[in-house]
Amino acid sequence: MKLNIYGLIIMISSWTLITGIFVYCYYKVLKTEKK
Amino acid sequence: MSQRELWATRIGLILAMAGNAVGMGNFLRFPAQAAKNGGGAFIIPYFIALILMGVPLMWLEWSMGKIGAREKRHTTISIFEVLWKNPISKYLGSIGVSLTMMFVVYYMVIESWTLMYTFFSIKGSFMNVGSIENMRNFLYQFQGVESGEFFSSDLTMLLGWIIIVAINVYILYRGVSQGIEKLAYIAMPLLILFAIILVIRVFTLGTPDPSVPENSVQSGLAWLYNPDFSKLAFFSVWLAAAGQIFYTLSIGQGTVQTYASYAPEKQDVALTGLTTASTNEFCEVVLGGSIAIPVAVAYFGIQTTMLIAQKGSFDIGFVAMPIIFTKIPLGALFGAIWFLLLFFAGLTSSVALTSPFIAFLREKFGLNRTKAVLLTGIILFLFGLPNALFIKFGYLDQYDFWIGTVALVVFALIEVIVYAWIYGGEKMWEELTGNADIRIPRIFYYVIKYIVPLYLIILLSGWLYQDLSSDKSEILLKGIEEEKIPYIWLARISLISFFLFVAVLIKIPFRKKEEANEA
Repeated sequence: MKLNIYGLIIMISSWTLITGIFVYCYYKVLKTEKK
Repeated sequence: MSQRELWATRIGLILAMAGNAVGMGNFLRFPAQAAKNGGGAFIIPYFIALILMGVPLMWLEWSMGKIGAREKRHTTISIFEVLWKNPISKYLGSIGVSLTMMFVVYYMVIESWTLMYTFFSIKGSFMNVGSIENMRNFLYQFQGVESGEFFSSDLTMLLGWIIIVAINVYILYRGVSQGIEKLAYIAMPLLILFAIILVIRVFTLGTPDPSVPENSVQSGLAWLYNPDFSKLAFFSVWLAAAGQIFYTLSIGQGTVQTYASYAPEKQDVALTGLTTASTNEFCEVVLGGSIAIPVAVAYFGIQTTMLIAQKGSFDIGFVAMPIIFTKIPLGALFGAIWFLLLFFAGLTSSVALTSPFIAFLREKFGLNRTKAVLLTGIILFLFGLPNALFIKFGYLDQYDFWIGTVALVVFALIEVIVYAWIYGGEKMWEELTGNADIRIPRIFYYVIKYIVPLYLIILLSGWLYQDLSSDKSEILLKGIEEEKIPYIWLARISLISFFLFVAVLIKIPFRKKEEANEA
């Protein structure tokens, strides 16, 4: 079985979206960190 | 009221909260569910459930914890009293405390398997086991389900379970900032590092046996992500996706509220809640989805992996993966990394699950942490022991069904009604958006108030219908072997007893207060 175009789109877009939000959140948390 | 503890840093709280959410299910349950329910098509209802139910509930529970921080209340019992001035509210809130405690008593048993399998990997105990069938026998004999050449009794597992209870009790005894927060600082980065190491190893495997080119990592990814859109028409796929979101985010319990209540009064909950959810999703979809299934397909092919997945998530983690470790170079090392990863994921979740009950004992009875943790440890032992001893009689499965599947959804529904409807939607929105570091679109007000309860009602009704109409109904005990029935009833009675026990405990200090007032 090979990754078809839909599978590739779903995989790449879900990984990009989740990683993007994950990185953005930590960037924002570290930027606004108040002790 | 107990003296209030605080998290030392905001990032510490986020890591602890992420540790609560990221559990063994991220690496075992998600890939099995995705593969069984239409691969790439499963991701669509999964994301819809994440946006319309998961993240909103995460925000809702964080903001309940924020009220707890302001009012110096650390459990859903006392927070519910603030939300709804009605004598019944504390009893409804007690479900959040009782269910987390009943969750953790069986969760620690599973956690002990990960610890012992780490030792087995290092020692090379399963390196010569050979076939899938033999590896399954190894697991069953370890669990005490059967006895044979690998283990004659479940003593090894019991030893692991005692160690796990002791580790949890020690971390909880150390307190919020010195125990739980320090654990999160060590375990969470290590967990992500281990997962990345394993993903790199899996992705560089390619096609392990060139004579069978269809068995490859790419085939595994294709099986997981190539969509079967016809599956979207099945209600069961939507139920499985929503159930996975519930399970993975650790929502519908009392843990998020307890953890958030140890933060400063004027905290942001919008960004921190989203950060928790995104950490969990990164560990689940990006990392969790890239390890077990792709590597299993590369070694066993799609058909065999499908059969293993049908047997359940544990067969993937504790049967398929150990076999693969016997076949790859440095297998003992990668095996230890895999089980240590699961151990850290389990440990950060189990300390979170135990925290609400400790907070309850402290705030209701004024106990110091040592006494509260000691009492909790005794309960963990008493209720956990039958879970460890009677695995073969379906005792643990009953706990998992009623607590890990049903009670979470029921409690989440109660939370939304009490908070967004009785306490008030606008007041809830103010709590959620006050001091926020990111702007939450107003549409989520309507999502929390209307869509989330609707989603939960559909989810609960769907599950009940699915179970009651099945030939293997858990509720009606259809198709269950005769010898298991007494143990299943014992499990059910013990669960009901604990919920009643907590309700009685709630009553005690109030009576004392009333008596004091009368005097």
